[in-house]
Amino acid sequence: MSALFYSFVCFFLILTALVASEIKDILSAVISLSVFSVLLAIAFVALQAPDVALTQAVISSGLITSLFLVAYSQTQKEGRRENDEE
Amino acid sequence: MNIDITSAIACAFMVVGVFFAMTSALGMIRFPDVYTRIHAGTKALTGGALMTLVGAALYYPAWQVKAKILLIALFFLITNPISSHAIARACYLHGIKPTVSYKDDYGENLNNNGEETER
Amino acid sequence: MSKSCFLRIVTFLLCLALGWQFWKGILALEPTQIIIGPAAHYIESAAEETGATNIVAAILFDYRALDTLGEASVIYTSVCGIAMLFAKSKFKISSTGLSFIVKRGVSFIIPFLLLYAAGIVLMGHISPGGGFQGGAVFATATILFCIVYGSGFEAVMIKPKTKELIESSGALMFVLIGFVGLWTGAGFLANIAAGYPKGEVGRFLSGGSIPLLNIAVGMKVSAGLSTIFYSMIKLLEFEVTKHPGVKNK
Repeated sequence: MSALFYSFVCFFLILTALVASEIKDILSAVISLSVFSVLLAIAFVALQAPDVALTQAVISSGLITSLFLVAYSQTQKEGRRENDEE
Repeated sequence: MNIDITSAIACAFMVVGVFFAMTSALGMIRFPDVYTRIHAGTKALTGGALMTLVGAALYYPAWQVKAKILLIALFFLITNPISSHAIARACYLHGIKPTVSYKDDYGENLNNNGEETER
Repeated sequence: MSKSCFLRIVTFLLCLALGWQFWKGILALEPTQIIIGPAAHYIESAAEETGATNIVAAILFDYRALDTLGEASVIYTSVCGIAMLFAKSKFKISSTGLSFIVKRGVSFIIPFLLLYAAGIVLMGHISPGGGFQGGAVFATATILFCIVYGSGFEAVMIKPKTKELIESSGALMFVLIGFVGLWTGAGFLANIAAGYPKGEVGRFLSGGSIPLLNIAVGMKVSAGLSTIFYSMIKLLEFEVTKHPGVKNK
């Protein structure tokens, strides 16, 4: 693949990884991680490795994101009850 | 000459599709409310992705590749509106109201019946 | 705050240095005319020796099948650990899932999703894919089922005991296929030398024991990942009686 396309994907990889590690809101970080994994799958296709790209796309952007969200929904913000039904 | 015209039409389709996808991203940033953002994310994005896929299907001469790409387009056409509907319904049930609303049919239905009528 | 700022700057410079080395390594990959080492032997003779067109599948399940057994046992151990961690939580009342439109729409999609997963698993020796990828897609279909219809419905359709049975029998099948090689005197997890039919290269029925190993790994991975998600979502289900955005009578 051309170096321009590859550097474009790499730039966005770096950007989303920085956002995922530096942002304070956990939900935005999880979604940024999911975008990172989709871009990584595209980079694997550009490097001619279809098996790894298939594994990365299915597991990291489908399963890992949903497991993170299930774990996140169990947490509470500090000083406030989660299920306020009123 | 025939192949040149086909690839030119395919490139035109892809350019228009990319334009729609870019306006969808712009709309997601600039719209004021979550419901209008979902509108931008569904209608413009589905149309743009479909046109890009149709352009890609026109570009390759083999019929197996065309059939696979059109199947992907059909799958995307079915699942994107369903997921946007699920998000919008979850937003309403969580308590987010639109910025300006004139008539709320869904809220009246829930209030009158106490729960959803169709399961 | 100066200590944490200093540490962040050091981390950033370290990431930059590693990224630069990575970029140099990727650019060095471009000219691939000359291949030396074991890769040359694999590329030249994988199709004739194993009968599989997909070289990655031939390496994973024939040349280095023992490493694949270790990887599968790592997945099995993690599934056992997570199921044991969440075992004490009792099953609460299950939710009723999403709305009618989503249920009808997803019920149209799910058979094709399962067909796609089965295709990836069974054609692992011809096209890119294999047991791990197909098993992950199966587990994604089960997770979709669980989210849209509620976990109670999913527990009735596919009982947790059935998932345990599928996972354990997948692991056992892998080891038993290897034992056939030991029994005929060719070594553990041997492929053609143990008597598995090689077939013609490129056909569906080819590759010796590679499709059987793909099916075993697919069974194990799909049941394992589905059990992980199911045991984590059991905690979440609650009965939705009041919606906070709607005024009730």
